[in-house]
Amino acid sequence: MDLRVIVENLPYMLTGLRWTVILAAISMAGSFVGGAVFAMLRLSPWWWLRWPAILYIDVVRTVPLIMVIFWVFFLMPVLTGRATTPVKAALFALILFNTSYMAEVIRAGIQSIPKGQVEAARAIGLTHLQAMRHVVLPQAFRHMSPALVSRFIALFMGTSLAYIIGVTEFFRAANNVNNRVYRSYEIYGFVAIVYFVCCYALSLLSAELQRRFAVPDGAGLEARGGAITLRGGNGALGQSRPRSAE
Amino acid sequence: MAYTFDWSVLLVYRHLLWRGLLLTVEISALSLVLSLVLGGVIGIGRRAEAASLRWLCGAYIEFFRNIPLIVQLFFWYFAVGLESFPAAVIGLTVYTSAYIAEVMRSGLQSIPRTQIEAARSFGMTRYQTIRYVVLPQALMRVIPPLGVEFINVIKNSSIAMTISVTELTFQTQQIESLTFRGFEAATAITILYVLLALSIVLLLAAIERAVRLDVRVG
Amino acid sequence: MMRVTRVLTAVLVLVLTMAWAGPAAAQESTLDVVKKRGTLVAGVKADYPPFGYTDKDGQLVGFDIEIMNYLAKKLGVKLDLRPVTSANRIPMLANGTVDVLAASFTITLEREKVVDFTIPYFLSGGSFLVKKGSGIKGYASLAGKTVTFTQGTPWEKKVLQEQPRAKTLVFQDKPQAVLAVKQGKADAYVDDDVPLYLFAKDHPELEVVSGATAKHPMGIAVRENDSKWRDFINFTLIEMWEDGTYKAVHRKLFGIDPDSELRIFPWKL
Repeated sequence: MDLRVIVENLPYMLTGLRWTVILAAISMAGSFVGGAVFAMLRLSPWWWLRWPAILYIDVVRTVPLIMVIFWVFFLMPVLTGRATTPVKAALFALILFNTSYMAEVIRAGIQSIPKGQVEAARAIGLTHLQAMRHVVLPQAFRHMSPALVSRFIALFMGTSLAYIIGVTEFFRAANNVNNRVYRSYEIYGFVAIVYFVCCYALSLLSAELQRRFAVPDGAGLEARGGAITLRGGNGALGQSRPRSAE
Repeated sequence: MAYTFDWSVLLVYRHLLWRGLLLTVEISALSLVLSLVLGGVIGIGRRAEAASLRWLCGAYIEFFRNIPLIVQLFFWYFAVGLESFPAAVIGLTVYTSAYIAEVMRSGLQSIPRTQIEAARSFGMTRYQTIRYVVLPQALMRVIPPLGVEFINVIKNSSIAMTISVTELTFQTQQIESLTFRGFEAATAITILYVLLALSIVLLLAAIERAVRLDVRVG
Repeated sequence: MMRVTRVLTAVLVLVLTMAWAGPAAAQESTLDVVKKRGTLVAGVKADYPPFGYTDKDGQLVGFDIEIMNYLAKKLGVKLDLRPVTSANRIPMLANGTVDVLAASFTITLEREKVVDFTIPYFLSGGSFLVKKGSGIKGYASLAGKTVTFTQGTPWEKKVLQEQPRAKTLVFQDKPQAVLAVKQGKADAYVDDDVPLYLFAKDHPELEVVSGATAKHPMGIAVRENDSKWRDFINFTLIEMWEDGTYKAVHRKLFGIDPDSELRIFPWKL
């Protein structure tokens, strides 16, 4: 057990960890926006808005994240006609992938607010927009929060796949070190522990949020994992905590 | 850079695609079966009477769910030193079993106590209660999320390419490095993944229909 | 059933749309782009000593990097190094992520079809990295054994040609292949001889057996149909050879003079 290898290379690996956090944070923000858009499209009364959204949400979740990353890597410059960096490609892939999950979470969140709330709000004179802003969305957000943290954890772990296209996030940094020192037990053990500590802490947060904002399983939708939406199953808002990793 | 599409490479290298598909299915199926068993045991253990057993199972679940699969695979392959296929299967099994354990646990948990109490008050033994009241209902509830986990296994098997398992995603890279036609390869393989997932969905729908006939979910 | 047809339609639509995706707009020469940008983005190896690797401080160093340094100075721009692997280097060049590839890139017919190579700037033979005492002498002794490569290198084809009964193991990073030999997962690792010698130096239980391939040239790669850029790099390589920098760098990194068969000719009669 040669722990010196870890200590010596800690600064380099921690720089990688910083990138992991940055990637996860930006992807989360980006896919939240994207997810909100697609959730609205999904709930829209016009079929020509609704169907493309449903297609997108269903198809993207069927494909492994690693394939989405390859796709974006091969495809982005062809589409944009411009160069791209691995970081940009990774971000785009993560956002593209996560948006489909976020759309489901947000949709479930919105649908978890009983219609009565909107009606009551309108009844006391709020406009539709005001009703959304002051009554529906804050509550929806609270209901969504455990699932949102869950998705963040999934994103956090998903950044490790950007290793393949050369982004120097935590996993690749650790790999670069191991490629020089060849101490797999120590290095990968260390990596495992770091990921565990970070993700477990976040999952405790998610559990706490769930405790506070528990919501009855009315939506009955599948948002946290899986490809094709299946009927029934655990609530989209993460009541039963399980979440898919990617 | 002008990109001319050349889909014929897919035909020329269809043997690679086929090999990739076979391997993906092999690894996924094997890991699935094993993790159902392992996950089932741990999920039930999570609801055991002994607090220490509950804690142990809980720790297992938390530990393997919060470490990225790629890290776990690398550990089994490079640190422990297993060969590709065993490392991939074991890694995928351990990882998936943690998720399946959670699914099982919450399935069991969702059976209202009243069912158990009613069964016991009818004079059923513990075993009979579990066998005839709890399990059938738990099974019904657990099938949809299990279906989700099935599909996840197929998706997660793609990560095994990094430890030299020549499954579908690996073949994307392989065809790319032989023909430099990454886009065509990625498209074909994406379609294959979608088809795989769809077959699971259909299979699951069939299973659900079959099971539903015997059970009325109260 | 609905869901199935729905998803299949989606995929079909997606594919058809992609098939219509137009080509990227015609580019001006990379030479002008780089000069305007003020930075040269070069793809180099990060795990392949002595061509490109990270030293203890995480800096990218190596023979290819030295050449890129020279090129950047010649251009009067800054140098931005991007790590590439054998598997992703061509996409990185083709899709514009890097302006040039100096990534221990062997010139082969297939590759020449998709990228343009400069004149050869290095000669290297392919060799086997094996465990000491393994008794592996060449292709004949590899029957039924496992040979490993990194994805994107041209050795797999050659090995399977010479020894159809060999089994293969493919990795993303080169040190992973070395590790495989150390752990006994593979009996031989085929790659360029110079880096293999360096790997063997770090791992006394491994040794290099030559003879996997004849000496072959490496080139610097640029995107297709960019003569201005390619010419510039060729001229720079010639200059580097003529003013002695090449030999000096080679001696510093390899400890010996360049291969006697290699000469970067000054194109002057």
